[in-house]
Amino acid sequence: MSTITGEQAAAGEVTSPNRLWQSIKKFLALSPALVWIFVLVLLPNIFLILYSVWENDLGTISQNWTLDNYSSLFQSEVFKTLLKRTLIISLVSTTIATLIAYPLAYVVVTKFGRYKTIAALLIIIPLWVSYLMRVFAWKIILGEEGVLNGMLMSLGITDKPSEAFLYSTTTVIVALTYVAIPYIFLSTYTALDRIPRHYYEASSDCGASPWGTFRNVIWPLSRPGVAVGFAIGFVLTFGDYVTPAMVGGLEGTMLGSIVLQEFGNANNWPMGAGIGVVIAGAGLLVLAVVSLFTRLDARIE
Amino acid sequence: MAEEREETELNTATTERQEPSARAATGESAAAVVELVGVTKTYPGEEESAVADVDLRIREGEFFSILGSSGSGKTTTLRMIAGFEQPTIGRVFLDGNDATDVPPYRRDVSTVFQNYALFPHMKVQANVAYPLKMSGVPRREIGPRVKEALERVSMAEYAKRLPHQLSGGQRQRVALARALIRGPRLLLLDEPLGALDLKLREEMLFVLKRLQREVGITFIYVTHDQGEALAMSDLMAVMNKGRIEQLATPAEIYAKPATSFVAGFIGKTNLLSCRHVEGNRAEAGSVPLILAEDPKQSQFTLSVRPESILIGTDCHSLPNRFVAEVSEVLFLGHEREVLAKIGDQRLMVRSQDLTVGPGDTIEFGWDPKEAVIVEATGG
Repeated sequence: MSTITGEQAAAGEVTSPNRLWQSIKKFLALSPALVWIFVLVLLPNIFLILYSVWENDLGTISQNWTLDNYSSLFQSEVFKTLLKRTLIISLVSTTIATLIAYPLAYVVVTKFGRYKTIAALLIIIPLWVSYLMRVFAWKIILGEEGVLNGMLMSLGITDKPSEAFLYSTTTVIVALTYVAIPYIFLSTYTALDRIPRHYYEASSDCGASPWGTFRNVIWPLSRPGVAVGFAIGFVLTFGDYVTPAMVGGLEGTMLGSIVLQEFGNANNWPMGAGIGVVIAGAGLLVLAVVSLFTRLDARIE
Repeated sequence: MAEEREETELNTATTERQEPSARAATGESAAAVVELVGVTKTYPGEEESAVADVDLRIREGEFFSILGSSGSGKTTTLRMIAGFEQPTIGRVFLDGNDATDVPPYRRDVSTVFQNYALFPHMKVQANVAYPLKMSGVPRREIGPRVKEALERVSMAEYAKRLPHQLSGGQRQRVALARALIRGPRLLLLDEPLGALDLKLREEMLFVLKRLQREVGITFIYVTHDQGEALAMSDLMAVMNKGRIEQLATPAEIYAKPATSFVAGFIGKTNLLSCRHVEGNRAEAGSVPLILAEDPKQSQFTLSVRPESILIGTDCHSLPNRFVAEVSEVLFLGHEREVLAKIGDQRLMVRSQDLTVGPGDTIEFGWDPKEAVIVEATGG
């Protein structure tokens, strides 16, 4: 922890009170960021964890330590089903979104030349529209009176509107996939765009076909960006409650919805906090696995 | 099978390579490894062509340099030979076959990139093994060949390093090893020494020259450094504004530059714009000059190299002899560069006399045969 600056050394003032003052100054300079992290990140999480180990006493919280919230959670079949379903829904939709966004980013970066920035912008423009509106749009498309049904009927494929498109697990997956694509695109696009043109050329020069170049050079160098994109997509979809509430129906309910219920109608904050902790924990677990793929021993020049 | 064919071709290349410059001079037509026919490249959205109507024939085993300043089209020419760019007009032939539309990975051509382009996530040995792996060479053969290739450029002990752990010169050697490992017919070098410091550059020049002698393959070497081009090449092309200004041996280009651009670009020279008077007499501004022969043009540019200008008593027997005032002196270590004024003309001469200073008077002259008419500037 030596913090001797050239100035100090020259002036011969390297005394310990001075060094202490230097550390204090450094701390003061950092303090806005530290306050921000403490108030907005640490504190809410501490409260969340505290609430989850306090007792619910008919809608009020009594500050007695208990693990009952967790034990009843893991005994509840409803919770276990929802946890499993939520995991499946968000893993599936994030995977599909990645499978769409990554090739999309690859095509934009490699084929669009100087128009790639415009193309990238067009893909992430939906982010400018309110989240609620974007999910609502799926209702308009998939609903009983919706665009899809109207099209199928006018093409004569079906003769009466189908209810099958809306309010199901599949609907939630479709909507969440759609929601996640721009974010994953952004992350993978950045990763691919960082790879200089001459790596493609060098690989081709070494006799590698376009597929060989992708597999041996481009994929390893962009994989961390894909992993980060996947993680963002997963976190985004795993905690979502708006989308399942709007297009999921009963079959598409996810953990986020019951957190809302516990904090809202059920007025059971400790239980809600417990579910919140489980969601955060599961998220961290997936992130830990994903982070294994973000390592890259390379420096791109 | 393919291996064997390559092997024998390499051998013939080595034996054929005895006197490439002599062969080039006699114009004997050995097999052309590369041939560009009427190649023009215009990048989309740009008015001027990067490369304009270039014809080029490069023979087996030659060390061929393309010399030019930045933006002269030399790198674009190289990229079309490698296959990274397609010519807008014209054809590219490799080994006599039309390769204009052949993608880079199907061409028997290797490139050493200006920035080396080593794959950052692969260790040195994986980088060098990559071309073999991609062409489906059996795994057990790859190891020994990589080792041998790294030894050839004295990089064997760095096999397990990643590119960013190497210095510029070391990366350069790895890039060379990677480019040579498949034993290509043709090696393209795009300003390979550009990023190195002077001392390393000189060292690498010797490494390159030795490698080319050993492996006997055709080198096409793109550079903006005239010293490198003169030192290394059997044949060189000087490019300017997308066109080849002159294509000849280094000695010929130095002694008989075809244009004033070439004369000015290769080495230092005095360019005098002259008017023909009569017979072998001409005038540069107000200074009368004697030429070796009748120029047959009324206006032209004359190139006189500083080293062909003799100073002091040496010049007494020469027809072009002047007494001039020294206006500036540059100390270069082994000699001095003296800027002298005669009439309205300024000439650069070299002097070993260390006492010359501004304001002094010197006497100098040159043999008319040493002056070259590089360009007609009218009529």
